[in-house]
Amino acid sequence: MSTSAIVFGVVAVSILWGGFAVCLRIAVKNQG
Amino acid sequence: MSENRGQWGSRMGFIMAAIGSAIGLGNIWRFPYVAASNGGGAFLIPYLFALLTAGIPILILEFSLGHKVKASTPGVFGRVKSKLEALGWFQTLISFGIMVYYVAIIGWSMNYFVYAFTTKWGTETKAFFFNNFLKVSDGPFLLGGVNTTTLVTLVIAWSLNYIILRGGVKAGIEKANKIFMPLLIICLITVTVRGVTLEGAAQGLDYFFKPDFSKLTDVKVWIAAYGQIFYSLSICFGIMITYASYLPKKTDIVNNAFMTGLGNCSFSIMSGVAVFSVLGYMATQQGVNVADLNVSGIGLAFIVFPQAINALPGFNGLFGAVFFLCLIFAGLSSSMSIMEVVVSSTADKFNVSRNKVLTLATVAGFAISLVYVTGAGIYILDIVDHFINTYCIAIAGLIELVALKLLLNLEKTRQYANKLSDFSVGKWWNTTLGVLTPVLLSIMFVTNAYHDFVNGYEGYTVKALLVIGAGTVALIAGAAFVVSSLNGSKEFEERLSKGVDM
Repeated sequence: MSTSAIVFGVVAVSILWGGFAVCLRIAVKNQG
Repeated sequence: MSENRGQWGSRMGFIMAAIGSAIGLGNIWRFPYVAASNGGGAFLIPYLFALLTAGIPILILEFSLGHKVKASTPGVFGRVKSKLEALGWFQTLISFGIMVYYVAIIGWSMNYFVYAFTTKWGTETKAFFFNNFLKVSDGPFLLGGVNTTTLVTLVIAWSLNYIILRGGVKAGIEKANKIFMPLLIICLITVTVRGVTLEGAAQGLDYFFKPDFSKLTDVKVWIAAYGQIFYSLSICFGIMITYASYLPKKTDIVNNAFMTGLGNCSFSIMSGVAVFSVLGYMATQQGVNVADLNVSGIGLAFIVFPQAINALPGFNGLFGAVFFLCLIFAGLSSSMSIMEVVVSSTADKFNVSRNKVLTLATVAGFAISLVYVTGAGIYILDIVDHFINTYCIAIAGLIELVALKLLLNLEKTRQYANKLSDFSVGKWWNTTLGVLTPVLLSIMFVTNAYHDFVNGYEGYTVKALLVIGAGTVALIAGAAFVVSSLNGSKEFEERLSKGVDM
């Protein structure tokens, strides 16, 4: 697997899943 | 209308239902293909841009309207301007049009879930799917008989939707999503883990993620990204407005929209990893390039994936069953939201109990969907799906955005959303909704229409495209005008006359 593919895969997953996790954390924090 | 409306039991219940609605069959079988064909990793740049400038802004708009007005789609648009009620019915009938064929595909997934245990499709998966399973006729106008195999699962799929929706918003939709969504994620993780540990998976993932930056200058790639975001988020055909109308007074708009958008796209990326790792394995086994196996839609799920399942070194049946379970859960979580639009809109306007409407709509929907279990079913499904997605949703979205830009004060709507939310959305939201997204939707519509006009669609005759495809669009639009012109209940008409302060 090429390096560029690995980089793009990791970055995409980090932005999307990371973004979702941050939003979820804010929601949980504000709910509590 | 609002007094008798159901309400979500918890914020998480709403989020799961909204994400469940957005995640559908297209996330699993369309996104990987679109991404890989439009620059691989580089496609993710326009894709994320489209999510932030079109997907999430429209979600915020629809959540705000549904929450503020607390009515179904025709009720919301009718409050903005009485003549716009027809747009609400247009979106509602688009949902009904999608529902009747979507349920048929869920049924096929149920059949294949059972077939997977014994890999009943054999080695000639294409011939099996078209000849043995669907028993296809020679053209879209030759119905042939009703296929009892697919009829049985069609009944099961309609029944499941009926049972879930009969429970109402909290005990039906919310509860079902709280079961389906975790199961869907577990199934997808199972397929992904198995996929990436197969020999050759890296070849598939390389094809999926390797960036081709030259594609970024191609307008078609940007249109594909906006199209993918637009069609996969359940926006502009009533679902998100209806779901948001069940939110309690004290809630969140902006963060809920971000979670729905990001959750949907996260799932798509994971589906891409699962699909392309398995295709990579298959390509390695057959000694071909992954690009040769890059197919989408029904062909991927029911022809190529069964081939991949055949080629697995072990646990073929179990792996196949888990894959088709993914399709079933993703399909059901979307179909229940699509049907809820129809139920909610009709019950609101005519002030009839939702269970009566549900029963009537299910019987009518089932009767129409019988056409999809005939020998011509797949042809009709293909044409209707193409026309609804390409034309109806684009028209509905375009009219919605232009009308709301002209009739609402978007700045006021933004302030309404921000006042309720965990974090605020900036003034860029007004620009993306009022200018950027309508322009891109128009380009998308014109490009697709031009392409169809010049090239036709999938080799179908002009007569088939006009009668079945354009006929469906005309029927939906005509019926929307007729239903909106009917007198609603006194309460509904009174509420329409109140307008909306936004």
